[in-house]
Amino acid sequence: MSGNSITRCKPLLGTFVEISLEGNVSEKALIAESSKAFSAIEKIDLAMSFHRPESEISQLNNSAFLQAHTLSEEMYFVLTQALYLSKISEGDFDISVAGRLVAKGQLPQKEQLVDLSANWQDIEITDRRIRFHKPLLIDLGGIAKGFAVDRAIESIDSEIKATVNAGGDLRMTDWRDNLINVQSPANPAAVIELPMLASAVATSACYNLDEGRSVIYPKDSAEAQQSAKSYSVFAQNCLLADALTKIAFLNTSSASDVLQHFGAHARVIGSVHTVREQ
Amino acid sequence: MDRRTFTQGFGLLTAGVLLPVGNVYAKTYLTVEQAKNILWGEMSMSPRLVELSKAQMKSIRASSKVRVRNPRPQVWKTANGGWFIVDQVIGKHENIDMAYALEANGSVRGLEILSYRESYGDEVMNPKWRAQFSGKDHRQRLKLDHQIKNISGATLSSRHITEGINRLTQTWEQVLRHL
Repeated sequence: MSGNSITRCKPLLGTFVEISLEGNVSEKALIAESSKAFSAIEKIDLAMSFHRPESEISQLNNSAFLQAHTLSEEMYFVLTQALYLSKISEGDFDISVAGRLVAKGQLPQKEQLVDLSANWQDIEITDRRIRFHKPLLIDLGGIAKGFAVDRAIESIDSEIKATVNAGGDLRMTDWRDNLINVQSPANPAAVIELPMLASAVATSACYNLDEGRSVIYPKDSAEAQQSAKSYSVFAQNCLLADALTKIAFLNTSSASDVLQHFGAHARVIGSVHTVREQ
Repeated sequence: MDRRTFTQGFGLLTAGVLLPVGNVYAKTYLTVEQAKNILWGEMSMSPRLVELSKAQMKSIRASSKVRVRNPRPQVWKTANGGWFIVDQVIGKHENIDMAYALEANGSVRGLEILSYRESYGDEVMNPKWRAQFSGKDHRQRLKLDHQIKNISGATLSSRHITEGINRLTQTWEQVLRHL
């Protein structure tokens, strides 16, 4: 029996989310599977948006300094992963940088006071309960999109070939011998072909930045150089690829050790389309 | 870490159609029939010929704050009084064909992107936008960073999508609901 395929695209997670499915089932079945996957993404979107006042993350930002909160299963997973990434990268990845981004006007203002000296070590999670030891803000923008892609892939029947692409945070079930196109950091109309090195990939580059935005080093809030390079990180899941691409982009001396710790690979595309390992 | 560094890696060769011809990126997702099926299932529907008068276009523009370009939207009415509309959202650099489903009370049931076409000028246009439109109706004119939170700053694309919703819910309020 020859297979069916379908590709859908919806506005979610602040980007376009594309879901492509292929399998020896009816088109109707593929549509049902893709709807399940979109629902999984919407659920993460609702819980983890810094901007939504009613989201779980906003509730933590409002009062996890004042009282302990019990975390949902998804939030517990993402936050413990985030803190582990902070530990291994010695703070190069830090979800508590949100307070400093708000102070710089790069995230919307919140009402509560924020201690700008706070970092990831001021977040304590014990038995699915969380408490902030300083007034701080967390933002999962560097990790939640990848996690949502993972949840979407996991929601799809394993007999179906699937690719989920949330604005470049991409995971595919049949990744071996596959290629992706990454937008050139020098010329947005050009693409560069890279082989998939793992099931998930994410890319960071200055061309993704909105006007007036910058990338800061979590440790000292210094602004990263606006380099004309893009950093694609391949990892076993999209949460890791999403988070590790931020570390790769900062290009600190320990970046390659951190990537190695997670079994991830980075490819750096230069302004003249040279591709090299980080 | 910075949430704004997210990626722009396009597409994939196996499952999609990527046409990097010159300065144009284009992709087709669903046919109109597929979108009908996704948004309304087996519900029967029939086409309605809608021709907006100059006065109606002006009035829709006044209440949605969005210019009405097309006086003849493609509209179907479903057996339960709902609507299926195919419409184009036009930005400075992108053209997006969209399918919308409105409930009988005018609230948004769902939307699907049918095709996307982006041409690059001198500046990079990032397709970054968000929408949670379900349950919004004409009484709540949507504004970015108000009912709809824009996760990555106000970008042109997201504004145009939001405007498209406002325009169509006003089209329902002023025209379709009386048909």
